[in-house]
Amino acid sequence: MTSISPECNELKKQYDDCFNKWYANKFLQGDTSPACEQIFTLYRACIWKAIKEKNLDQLISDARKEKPFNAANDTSSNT
Amino acid sequence: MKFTENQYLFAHPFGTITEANWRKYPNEYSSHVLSVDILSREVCPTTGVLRSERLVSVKQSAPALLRRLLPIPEVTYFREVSFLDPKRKSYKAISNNLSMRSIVDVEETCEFNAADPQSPDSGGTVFKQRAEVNALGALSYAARLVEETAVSSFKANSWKGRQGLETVVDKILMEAEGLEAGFKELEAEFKNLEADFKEGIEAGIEGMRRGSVGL
Repeated sequence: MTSISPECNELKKQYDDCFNKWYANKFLQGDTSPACEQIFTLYRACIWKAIKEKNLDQLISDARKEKPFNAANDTSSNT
Repeated sequence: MKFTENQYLFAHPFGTITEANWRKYPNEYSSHVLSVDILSREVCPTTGVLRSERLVSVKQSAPALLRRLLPIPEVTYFREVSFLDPKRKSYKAISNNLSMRSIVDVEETCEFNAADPQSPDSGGTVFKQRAEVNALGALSYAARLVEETAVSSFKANSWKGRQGLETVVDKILMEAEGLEAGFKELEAEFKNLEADFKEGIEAGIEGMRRGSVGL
């Protein structure tokens, strides 16, 4: 799937490929130690640049304040 | 306030369904979804739960009447936070609109749970989806129109979302088991598709007519 910015598509693809392999082959098998950190850092730097350019950063930070959803039980009011 | 929900049993284990869900976009039913990005993601060291925060952009095609009444942008943004518990075999995602918040609050919840947590590989996966739409100025005609439009779009898109996920599941199964096994699965899914066909046509037409608000 494409990213919010075409510039980030290649990094996103690399990150998604890494994550999808980790999810299927490690996480679901019980190994929850994190992976893909390095590529995620690069990809995130790319999209946050695009998010700021599109003036979405304030909307995201407002949403995080209004509905933090920090843990699964934060969302219990919605079930 | 408008509210809608539905439930569906996928004939695939929790692992396959959630794997497909991460890879859901793009699919042949998802032309309204323009982009998906991961804002943050971490595994809780004490619970082992995977929390993901995503930014999704969706193409809007609101009815002309609504466009005349309200400043509706062509692209709207949603923030989705999800929790995936690999021990309980449960997944829950909550999405809210970031755009147009002064007009409407759309909250969509999606859940996947292993139908039988004792034997998660055999019982299939229960999918639950609900949407709540709250338009500002709840008594005005425009507000009612916003809510009705959002809910009917959600209904149309929820069918598209389900079918889209099935196509990704098929892709994953074909990758995993080779083409021959994949075709057998497609054959089995064809029966489900047949059963959903009538509903699908109706929802599809409605979706094209109304455009989309939900995911």
